[in-house]
Amino acid sequence: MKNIRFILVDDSHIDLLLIERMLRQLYPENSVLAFDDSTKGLRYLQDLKAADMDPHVVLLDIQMPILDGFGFLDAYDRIDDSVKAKIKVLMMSSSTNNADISRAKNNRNVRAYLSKPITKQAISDAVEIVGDMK
Amino acid sequence: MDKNQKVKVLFIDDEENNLVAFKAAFRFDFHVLTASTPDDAMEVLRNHDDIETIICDQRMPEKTGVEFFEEVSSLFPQPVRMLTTGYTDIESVINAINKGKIFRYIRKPWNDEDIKTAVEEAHKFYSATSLLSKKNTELEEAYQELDKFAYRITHDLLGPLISVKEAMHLVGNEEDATVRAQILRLMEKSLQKLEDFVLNISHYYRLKQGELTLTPLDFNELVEYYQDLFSIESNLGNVDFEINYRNSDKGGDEFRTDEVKLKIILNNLLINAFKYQRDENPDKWVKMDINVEGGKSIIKVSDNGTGIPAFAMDNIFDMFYRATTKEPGSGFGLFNVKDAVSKLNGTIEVESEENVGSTFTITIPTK
Repeated sequence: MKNIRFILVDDSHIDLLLIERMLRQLYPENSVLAFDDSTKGLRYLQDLKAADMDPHVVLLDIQMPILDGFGFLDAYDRIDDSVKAKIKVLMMSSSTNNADISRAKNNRNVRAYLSKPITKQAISDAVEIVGDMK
Repeated sequence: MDKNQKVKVLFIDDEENNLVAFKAAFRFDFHVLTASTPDDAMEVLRNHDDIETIICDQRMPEKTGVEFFEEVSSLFPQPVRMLTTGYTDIESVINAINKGKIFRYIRKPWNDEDIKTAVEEAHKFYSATSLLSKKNTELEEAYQELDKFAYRITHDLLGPLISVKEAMHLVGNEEDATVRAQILRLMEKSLQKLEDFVLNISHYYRLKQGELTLTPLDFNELVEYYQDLFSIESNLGNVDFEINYRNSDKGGDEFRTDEVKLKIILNNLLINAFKYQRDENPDKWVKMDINVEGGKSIIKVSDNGTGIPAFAMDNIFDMFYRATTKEPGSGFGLFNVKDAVSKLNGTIEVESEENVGSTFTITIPTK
């Protein structure tokens, strides 16, 4: 658990701050990396090498400019399986659109869907589900 | 009936003589196409999507006219269908109406005037129904646009509201003053975004519905208005702001335009010019050049800010499109600009280079 890295991808600065603080309170020993530009977040994941990487939990927003959450997932899908095996993606949004929500939930790379406002409880529940990572 | 364009009529009869007779009788009134079998008729229908009326004989060796119309009505629902027959058996008439959905029933031998009247009435019916189906398509498109609109509005209004509410709890429990200030600043940014968004929606509707209100434009007043309006932005952001105005039409005709729409354009362009500055640039500037000449005003709004990345250039005028997360934006501003420019019969051009700056040039004719 200690070695898990959290990656936040959200264009809203206030949401990044809120979620980052929750993560730091819940998991003070883990590192958190926040990206307000989804293309940079994606680049970070693409550069990971399976051999020397810690497990990652990615919290991904849906609505973002330039590259939205679904576009992000399409590109993410092409990352090497050995790398993806060490990454768990959680999707989050304030969307009330059912099509968005089911599209997120049905994506094979998405482990859980969190609706905004995100609570500490929701984060810890979701992380518990995906947290049994080596 | 439109005299310039003859109505296309397809006539189907298994007797070659009838086809020749029909063509001879009506070739001056209609654009006549003929077929001697249902299969040929289908081929003609496939090749001509503007046939308005189909007139078909009931008794044909391959199939009856009613059977043919039954097939036609699902494949080609638009044309108006009429049946001719020499036999007056009531059964076929009932079938024709119920199954073939025919518009008229014409007895053989036909009377030329009856056919002309029938085709003219069919034309009116055809025009009304095709207008209706066109309106329906438009309505469907409008509905889809509304749907997309509602989806985006929900997200763009709800997102910041939820975040600000959450942040309020956080700031109440935060003891560190620096962190409190940081959260408050972000809250303000989110609220600013909301405000911009609502303002832009109101502009959008004003543009969409508003008729043009044309008045003579006082350019000196406009220059003063913008000097005032952006003086705070200019001072706070340490951005040099300069407006140049030149009028070669002085003494000539006055320049008439819709002032509200022109201001929607200039406000958005100037707000962007001030917003997308590079922090590290020691010599920030925004310039507006107004040049009135030959009944046209050419207005350039330029800056030496962040510029627009090349990949985004094709999309910057699209609704909800945003090319950056660095500054809050509604994805609405330039869409409204483009809309307002076209309402004023003007044109807009943009030149931009990343980390060098952008120049938007609008050209608007007097009205």
